[in-house]
Parts: sequence; C-alpha cells; structure tokens
Amino acid sequence: MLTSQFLLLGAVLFCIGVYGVIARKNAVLVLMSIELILNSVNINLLAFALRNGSADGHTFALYIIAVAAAEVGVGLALVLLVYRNRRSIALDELSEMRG
Amino acid sequence: MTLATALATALDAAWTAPTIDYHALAPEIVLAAGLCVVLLVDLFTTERNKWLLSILTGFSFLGAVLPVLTLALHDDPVRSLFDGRYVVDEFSLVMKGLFLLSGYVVVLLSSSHVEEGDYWRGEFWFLLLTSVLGMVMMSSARDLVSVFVALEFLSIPSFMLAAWRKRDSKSNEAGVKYFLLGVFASAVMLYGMSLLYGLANSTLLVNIADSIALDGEFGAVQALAVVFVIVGFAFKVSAVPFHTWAPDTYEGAPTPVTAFLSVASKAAGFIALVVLVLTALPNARDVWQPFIWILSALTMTVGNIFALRQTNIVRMIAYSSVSQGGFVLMPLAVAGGAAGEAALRAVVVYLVAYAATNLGMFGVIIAVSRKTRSGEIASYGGLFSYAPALGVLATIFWHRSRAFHRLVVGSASSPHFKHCSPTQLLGHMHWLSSVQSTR
Repeated sequence: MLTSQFLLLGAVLFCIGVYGVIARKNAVLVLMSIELILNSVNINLLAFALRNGSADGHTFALYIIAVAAAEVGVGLALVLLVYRNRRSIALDELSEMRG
Repeated sequence: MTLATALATALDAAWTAPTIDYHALAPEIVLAAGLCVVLLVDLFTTERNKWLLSILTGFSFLGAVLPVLTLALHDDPVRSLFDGRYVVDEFSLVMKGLFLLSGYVVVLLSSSHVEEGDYWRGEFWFLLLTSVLGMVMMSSARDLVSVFVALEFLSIPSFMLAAWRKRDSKSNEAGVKYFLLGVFASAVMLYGMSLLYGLANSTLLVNIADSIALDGEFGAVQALAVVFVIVGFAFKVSAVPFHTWAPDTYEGAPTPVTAFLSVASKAAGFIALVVLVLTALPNARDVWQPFIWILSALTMTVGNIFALRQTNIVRMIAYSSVSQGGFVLMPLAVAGGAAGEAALRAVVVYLVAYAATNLGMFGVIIAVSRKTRSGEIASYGGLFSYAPALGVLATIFWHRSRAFHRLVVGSASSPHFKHCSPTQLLGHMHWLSSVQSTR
C-alpha cells in the first residue's frame, strides 16, 4: 500500500488550502480553498480506511462530501448577498465594524 | 478491505435492524416534527397569520422539554443507542434542557423583533428550530461522525440567522465573517479528526481513548491531531486568539440572534469540546492541558481588556462573552485524571448560570434599544429615570454574571481538584481569574 503517498498528498492539499484561506481576498477563492482542505480530509480518511481495512472512513468521507455541499450552498448565497449590496466580494472591504 | 468487499460481506450476512429506543430519541423527534410543521404552516398561511409561527416554534421547544423530563425522572437515565454512538445520560439531559429552554427564551425575545422590517419570517423560526435540533444532537453525540454532523447541523442555520437582515450590510458582513471562519475551523477540526481515525481505527470516542496515549512511533502525529481538533473548537467557542469573528458577528447580527449565538451556540461548542477531550483524549492530557491553559488565560485577559474600550453595548457584551469563555475553559485546563468529573460539573454549572444571565441581559438590551433606538452605552444614561424596572434588571443581570465567575473559580479550586491536578498551575490560574472577576 502506498498509504504514505496519499497522506503526503493530503498534507500538501491541506497546506495549500490554509494558505489560500489566509492569503486570498476574494470570497469565492477562500471558499474554494476551504473545499481543498475538506478534500484533503477525504483523501486522508480513504487512505486510512484502506490501510486499516474498515468501512468507517468511507462513511465519514461520504458525510463530509454531503455536508460540504450544503456548506458551499449557504456560502455562495451569502457571497451573492454581499455582492448585491456592495457590488464587490473583496473580503478586505468588509470592514464596517471595527474595534 | 475495500468498500466493495465490505459491501459484499455485508450483503451476505443477514441484516438485522438495530433496535431503536424511541423514548431516548423523543426530544429530537418532537423537534424534527415541529420544524416540519413550521415549514408547512409557513407555506399555507397568509401574511396576516404569520404570528402563528412564533407560537408553534415556542410550543415545539416546550413539547421537546417534556420527554427530557420523563427521561430524567426514569429509573435508569443512562441509555446507549447505536453501539454507544449516541448516549442519553444525565449530562446530556441537562444540556438538552438548557438548549431547549434557551431556544424558547430566544423565541420570546425575538417574536416582536422579527415582525419589524419586512423580512421573511417563516425562515427565521425554521432555522432557529434546526439549529437547536443540532445542539440537542450534539449533547448526545459520542462518535466523531455524529459530533461532526451535529456541529454542522447547528452551525449552518446559525450562519443564515446571522445574515438574516438581507438588505442590511452590517448583517451581511456578520454572516460572511461567521461563515468563513466557522467553516475554516470545522475543516481544520476535520483534518485532526481524520488523523484520530487513522491512528485509532475507529470513530467511536471510547475506542479512540485506548489508542491515543502519545506514545509509540506516532506520538507526534497524535499530538498534532489533538491540537487540530482543539483549535477547531476554539474557533467555535471564540477563544482568543481565534475570537476575531465574534465581536463583528455579534454586533451585525439581529440582536435576538446574537443572544442565541452567544448562549446556545457557544454552549454547544463547549460541551462538544468537553466530551471530546474527556471521553476520547483522556490519555493525551499532556498536550491539551497546557494548550487549554494558555487559551483560557489569554481569553479571560484579552476579552476583558478589549471590553473596556467599547462604546457599543452589544460589542461590549460580545467581548464580555469572549472572556466568559475563558472561565468555562479553565476547569478543563486542570481536568486530568480523576478531576474529569468535577471539571464536567463545573462547566455545566457555569454554562447554565451563564445562559440565564446572558439571556436576561440581552432581553434588557433589546427592550432598551427599542425605546432609545441606539446601541451606544452612553444612551443607557438615565435609564433608571424613564424605565426603573429595566434599570434594576440590567444591574441584577450584569452583577450576577460577574458573581458566577467567583462561583466557578471557587468550585475549580476546591480541595477535590487540588490533590489530583498540578497545584502550582492552579494557583496561578486562581490568581489570574480572581483578578479578572473583581473587575
């Protein structure tokens, strides 16, 4: 089994995702970066499930896929709401409240 | 074994349905039925009759409290469902009661607030019920998958509740900030959970406890997994330095929603953290004890200091509730070994007291802001002269919430705690929190 390669891929995707969340100013790109992290989790879970020979990881991954879809639906709706009111989805301009 | 072979072997064996204890699941079933009814009634009523919805929502909460009471009065209150993945015990019953009652109080606080400003009302009640259903599930979840599903169940509706005033750009900002940080936090937490699953080969919290002991060749990975999971929940309970979303979200969201977020949603995050740490990671306390200690000390200090310079009342309460989170974390920082039980008790007592005082404080804030149309602290000058009852209530709730700090500090530093935890650490902690709570 090539478990370590899968885990490495998961770790790299996780790091790219975290970098994207921190560095990107565009709300849609931040959402995409969060999806990258969730997919790295899925890769991890499937690799572990294959290595350990149990179906729990597969089930967990299915739940994550379903919940991630719901999250993105809500997230895009919120981004659309901001775009309608401001004509911009730049996160650094979302600074009406401070302190 | 791949999924295909797993499925093949599963299909060969005769499948027997698990026996389901419907009495234990009754609060969840009542809530689920209630939210379906609210959704349907919203579809088929005219705009004039929408007041029905708030009443239906209130009765759903009260109806779900009844089975909680019958379960609590039953001779054997501990019921374990689905191979121990969903447990109804005294702890979870207390928390279910707390969530349902605070949901009911939020209905009372928001029913006139929701009428104002020409927004769709039905969704508000539906989302509130869904979020409380997630919290009720969270208090019984004893498996990584069910903890995760319950967490998302309670968070996703509250993102939408925070952004409920669609045309108000402050409310939009509150929703987007809460959403992005909340989802990022659960993604980080999931990465930690995937590592925990890989190391323990089980998603059941009790089984994870046997494998995660910070020894063997994977000790470092285990420590990493524990830290990731705790960071995920630290966002949820707005512990410093992961608190940055909280003041903005609390200020921008509609005030009853803020009351709901700062009380119920936060309490749900805490009990998930407590259950995970005490059930799944008792043997990894060398990692989480110092980590939570630092989080707790930072949260108490930074929350209180920033609260001092606020001019908006909701924002000040937001920082105050951040700092209160530090007090709830404090018993966990010393909860190693036999002190787990006492820490659990301290957390539950504090959360109940915190919910009561904070909801009361928000009730006063909503009442005053309806009179003065202002959220500035300066507008509270002369409150006693035009609304004496509100003035007295505000004073009581404010001082009660301060008094409970001392209560928890007292119980955390009781002799029972001291002999089984690092006394010196506790001494520092006690000093720090005494200074904080005399503010």
